[in-house]
Amino acid sequence: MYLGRDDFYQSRMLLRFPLNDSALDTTTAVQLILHRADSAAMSFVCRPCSTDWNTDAVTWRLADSVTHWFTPGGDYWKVDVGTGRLESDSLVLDLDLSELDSAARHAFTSFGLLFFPQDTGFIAVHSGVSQATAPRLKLNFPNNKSLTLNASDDAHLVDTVRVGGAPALTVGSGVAFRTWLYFGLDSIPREATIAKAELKFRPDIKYRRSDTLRFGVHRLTEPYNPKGKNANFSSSSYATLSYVVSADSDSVAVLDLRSLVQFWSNYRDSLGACDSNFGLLVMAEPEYSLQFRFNIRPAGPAAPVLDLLYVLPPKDRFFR
Amino acid sequence: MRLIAVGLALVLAFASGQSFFNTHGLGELVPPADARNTSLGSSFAFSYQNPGMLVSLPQVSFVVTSLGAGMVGTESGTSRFIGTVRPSGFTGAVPLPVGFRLSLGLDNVFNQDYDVWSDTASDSSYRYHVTGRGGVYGLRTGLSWSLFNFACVGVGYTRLLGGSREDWRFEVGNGQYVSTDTIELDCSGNALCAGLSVQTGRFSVAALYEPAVNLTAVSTRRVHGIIKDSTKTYQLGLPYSLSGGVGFRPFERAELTLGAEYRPWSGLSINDTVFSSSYNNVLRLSGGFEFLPTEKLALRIGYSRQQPYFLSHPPEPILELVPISEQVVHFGAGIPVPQFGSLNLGAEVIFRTNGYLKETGGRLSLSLAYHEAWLKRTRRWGY
Repeated sequence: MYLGRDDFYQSRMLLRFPLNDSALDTTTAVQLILHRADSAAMSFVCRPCSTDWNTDAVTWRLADSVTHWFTPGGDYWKVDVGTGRLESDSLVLDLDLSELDSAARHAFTSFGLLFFPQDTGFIAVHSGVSQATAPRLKLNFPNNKSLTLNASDDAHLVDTVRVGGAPALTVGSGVAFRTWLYFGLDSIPREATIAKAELKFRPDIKYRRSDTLRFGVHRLTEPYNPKGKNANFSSSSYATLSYVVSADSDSVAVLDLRSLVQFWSNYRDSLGACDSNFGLLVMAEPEYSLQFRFNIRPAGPAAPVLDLLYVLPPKDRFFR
Repeated sequence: MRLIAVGLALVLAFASGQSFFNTHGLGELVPPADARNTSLGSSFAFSYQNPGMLVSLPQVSFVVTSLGAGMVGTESGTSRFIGTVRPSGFTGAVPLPVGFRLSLGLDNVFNQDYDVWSDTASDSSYRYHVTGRGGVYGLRTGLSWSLFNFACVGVGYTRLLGGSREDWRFEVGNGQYVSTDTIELDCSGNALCAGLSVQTGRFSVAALYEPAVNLTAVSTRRVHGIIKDSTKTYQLGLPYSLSGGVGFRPFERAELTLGAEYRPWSGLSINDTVFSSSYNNVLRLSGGFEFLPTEKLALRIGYSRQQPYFLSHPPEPILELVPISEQVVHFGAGIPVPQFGSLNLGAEVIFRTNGYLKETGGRLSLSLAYHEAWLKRTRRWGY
């Protein structure tokens, strides 16, 4: 999970713990334990989330697949229950629940905490994937008794508001941007062997948090229309590239699509059209990697081209 | 000795000559399979393929020939070696009453073995690796009539059968193959021939005529190992051939032979279309000399030259097909094998070039002839 912000992105964290309404009634102290996944430092505050959310569907705008936040970025009670700075591998933060009324307590126990970054930059925080480093809540009771609970749900919300703008062919990570490209290949003879098929373009980089941008190409498995952005695509990539941003940011990205074009060329309908060619998606690999975003220019010398070289089968020996 | 000879024959029983030019036409035309004939220039008229050579045949005889070959090809400064071993022929003859003879044989007529990294046929981003295995074989039978113990006439029939498989692999960077295209070719046909010879103590004359041959070739290709293209059938019209040879024995232990073969390959037709621009008329000339320093040892040397029947492609962008020139130096020896027959060894050093691709190769033939009759054969052509 990412927590942080800069001029283009803001990432907040959501954590929920398996608590019931009375769980906090007899506690003497409540401590939050977080584990850092990189070497950055980040100050933050956390507040009770006021709206239910679904970890599989929550985004900056949506609390679940159908419910919008009242305020993009998450709804919350304006009570700081914790303020801290994550600058070592782990942090134990005493939460101050004294200012919470019953409604806010209910929100805390039911919907969890929303974390707000206070510094510029980003920090990666371990999610609940690993039991050892999962976010935890330690409930301390009288007589030195305590109970430690791992987070039952977690998510991070990335602000895309400032990333928008004019429609463009964008590829991005952190906030996933995918570009659909289609190349007509029906003119390639069916029996041709694809000796070279390279997708080339010059990325117009808009944002990056790393010098190496990793992206790849996936094949659409059904027509782009009518589903549009919801069209299914292959889960595995046909080509990936670790694009190293050069000093002048002007190097060409080259992806080897030979096997994909050969696949498309092999399968034809009765009219000879490549009936498996629904186009391809250029997308970050993986899309949860450090944020980056670049545009692919649709025209001009930096526009994407598919550089093809194919070889026809050999002639029969009598005609060579 | 007999065991050694048979063992050598078995060792060589899996070998074959091959050429980098074998991707063309029907492949390399294989010289008659007989080490003695090979070492004297491989004259077709003086070979077992001429049913008119059976002037003398006291007893049943047979000869088995195996061939080992190696070839170094040099193209664009890069040299490659190819080499294999396999049987190249078997022939046998049976004497019949009143001077008739019945002969049988099995020969490799066209050789289609090769293993080529084709640089000149490739692009900078890929290259072909082409391997082919197979050839066309002739199952021969002939009927001869020996006249007056110095002349013979004969006719022969050959059932031509063959098949080959070519794998064209496209190699790209990191030694990976993009795909493999496979072409399988099956050939069949019938051929006739007529031959005659006159052999005296001092002179020998032989001639062989083979009329035009119709060959049916069925080609099936599989592209990328997935797509099976339609099967194509070709009707090949192979032109006639005319071969002749003369031999002269200046003294008892020496013989000089000259041979010539002519076949107008420019008349090769495929589905009734003549491809004169792709094939070359062939006049093959050969000569040989045999000397017997002792009664039990024959030493031989020969020379032959020709332009093979198929033209070849120079590197791109040159489009015009170019002929191939071939020169061969032959030599060999023959020794008797007591209680068995004789063992003949033939060697060839081959120089081929089309101006761009050069081949230097060698072929080693080993013929094991059965029966005492073959001892006498060192003094006379034929059986």
